[in-house]
Amino acid sequence: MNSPAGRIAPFTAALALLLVGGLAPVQAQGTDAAPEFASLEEKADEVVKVNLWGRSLEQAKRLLGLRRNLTGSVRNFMNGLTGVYRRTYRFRKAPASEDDVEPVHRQLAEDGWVPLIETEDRDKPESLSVYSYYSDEEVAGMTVVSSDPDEVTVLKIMGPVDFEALSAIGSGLGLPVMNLGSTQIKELDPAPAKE
Amino acid sequence: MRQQHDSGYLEAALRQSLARRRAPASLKARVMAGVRAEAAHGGHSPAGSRLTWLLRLRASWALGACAATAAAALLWAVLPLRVSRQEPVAVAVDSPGVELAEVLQLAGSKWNRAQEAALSPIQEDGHE
Repeated sequence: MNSPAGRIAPFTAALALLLVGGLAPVQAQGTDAAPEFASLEEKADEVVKVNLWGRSLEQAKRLLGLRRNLTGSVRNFMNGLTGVYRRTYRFRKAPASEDDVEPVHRQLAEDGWVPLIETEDRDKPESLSVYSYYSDEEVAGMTVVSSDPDEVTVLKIMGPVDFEALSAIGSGLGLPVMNLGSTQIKELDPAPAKE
Repeated sequence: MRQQHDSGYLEAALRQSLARRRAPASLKARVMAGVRAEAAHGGHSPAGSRLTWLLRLRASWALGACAATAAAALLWAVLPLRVSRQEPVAVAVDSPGVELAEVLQLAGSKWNRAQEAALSPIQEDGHE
């Protein structure tokens, strides 16, 4: 065991593991994992799932980075992301209730997500919550949960979050207009209720 | 035998053609004499060699035109196929970028709405 070959073997194995771990995109576990809500999925008439992580996320960043009208702050924010997930559950036959959405909030709290903003409409059964995740006292991710009787959407963004860049993207600035997405966004994101 | 038959046929054709044209009789006679000399010397006269050269030129022109037409037809047939194959691939390759932009735009708009909702009671308090 004291031979040079015996001493080198563990290092080689460790290096191989490190290389394999670094090169092959492995689905992250825990907080980084893709959100799954079985009860909502069972009840929903339509489910939209977007999973961008590892190679697919790098490809998406590269493709989006080719656009000319991408501002510097948005580009930096985008390049720091490690996972982007979307779950949209649409209900046509039976509307979604608070009880259906409650497991989503519970699961996020169990995973260490901290509620940043929670809003509820008194007149309408609508709610919007923003959660953030901290790592070493820095925001390492955010999750948005919006719900109304017709639809529940969970958006999870992992990586350092630049809220100003995100706000600019939400206002239609900094990111190129995507025809495919804009129509869906209009459908998914109705205008805020009049005060 | 064949050469003689061909030259006789050519001579007759030329005579008919020259008869239809308005040219001096001396010129017509010289052309006919040239043709007869061509037939007698088996194509080795200067007039015969010019005729052969012209025939070769016309043949090469015809071949060139055929080749160009065939190449154009091939391009016309193949190019649309290549374009139609490229389009879906481009859409498929670009879809992760579109998905990323869509999720970020959706998250951004919801973040803005949440901020507005969170800040509006504070503003009202300030007015009071």
